[in-house]
Amino acid sequence: MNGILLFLIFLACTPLIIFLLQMIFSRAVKDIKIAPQIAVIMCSVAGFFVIIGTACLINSGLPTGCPKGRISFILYGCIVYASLALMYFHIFNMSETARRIRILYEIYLVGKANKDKVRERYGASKMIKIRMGRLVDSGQVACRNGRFFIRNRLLYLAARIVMAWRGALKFNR
Amino acid sequence: MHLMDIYILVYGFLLFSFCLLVHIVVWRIRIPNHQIPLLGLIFIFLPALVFLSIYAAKGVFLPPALFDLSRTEWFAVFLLHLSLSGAYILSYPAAQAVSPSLKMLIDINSSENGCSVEELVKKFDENALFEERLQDLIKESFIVETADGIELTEAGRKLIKFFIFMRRLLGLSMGEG
Repeated sequence: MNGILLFLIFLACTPLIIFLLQMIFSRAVKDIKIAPQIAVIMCSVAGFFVIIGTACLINSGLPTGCPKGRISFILYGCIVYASLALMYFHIFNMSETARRIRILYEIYLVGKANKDKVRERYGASKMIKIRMGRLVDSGQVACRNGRFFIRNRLLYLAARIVMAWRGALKFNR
Repeated sequence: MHLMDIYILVYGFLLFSFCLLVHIVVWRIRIPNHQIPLLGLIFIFLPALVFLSIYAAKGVFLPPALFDLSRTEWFAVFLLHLSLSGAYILSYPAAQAVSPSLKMLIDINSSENGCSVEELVKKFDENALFEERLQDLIKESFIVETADGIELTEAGRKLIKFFIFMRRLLGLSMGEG
């Protein structure tokens, strides 16, 4: 099996690598309060170095050859890694924040449920409070005198992009 | 190790862009009922069809030198396409069902004096937050509504057990939603 193919297969395992790193990390920092999404980002950064290390190991050092080939190789690795890391982030984030998963979990806990009972345990007010707490913990929003303000514009920009994308797909018709 | 040809990046992006274009066109005509399965069809099945068509047309309608990549290079092209597609498909639910967190950020930013929790709760429609998501789950066959309530289907049970297992391996309790 050639080196490139071996590296590609290893690169394809990015979500598993980040998951394993997160398994170790979440147990190591159990007593420290870190937003789970931040923990995933930190593990993704660590995973990136694992991949670079593996690429060097397979290649017995840093890639050599013509500059164009090296640039393509590095660019390819970064794009695929980032995309697969984002995939893992979304899968983990579903278990953390998705309303549908939470609703499924509420029904799973009780077996068979009345709609109103599920709404009681997980209604609009509770959803907003949970999300606000999460936004404050992750540093996206600041609280002053009981009122909330944008603190970090990164997620706000993501929100604008998502809304624009909804418009492009004509969800707002 | 022979390093990567720029064409692998180009073909991978072209393939992803083609699927994205098909997705946009279909959605602008009519938003389908089963969106995620159709996205899977567009981003996975369609490229396979494109690949087979190119393979069949090479030497007949297309010059043999065009798309002349080794098996490893084609694997690299598809890995790039699938990773971009996977990232897009998994990001899609945030656009499909407006993420309350993202909407909250837009509402907070649009107010000069910020927002209180009570003001934010008022801006949200209880129906959209809860009822519509419940209907999504019924449409996607993860739950079923009976005379005496709602319960998980086998698919719903498997899905939630997967997440419970994943969280357990991570040493975490289930998320708050």
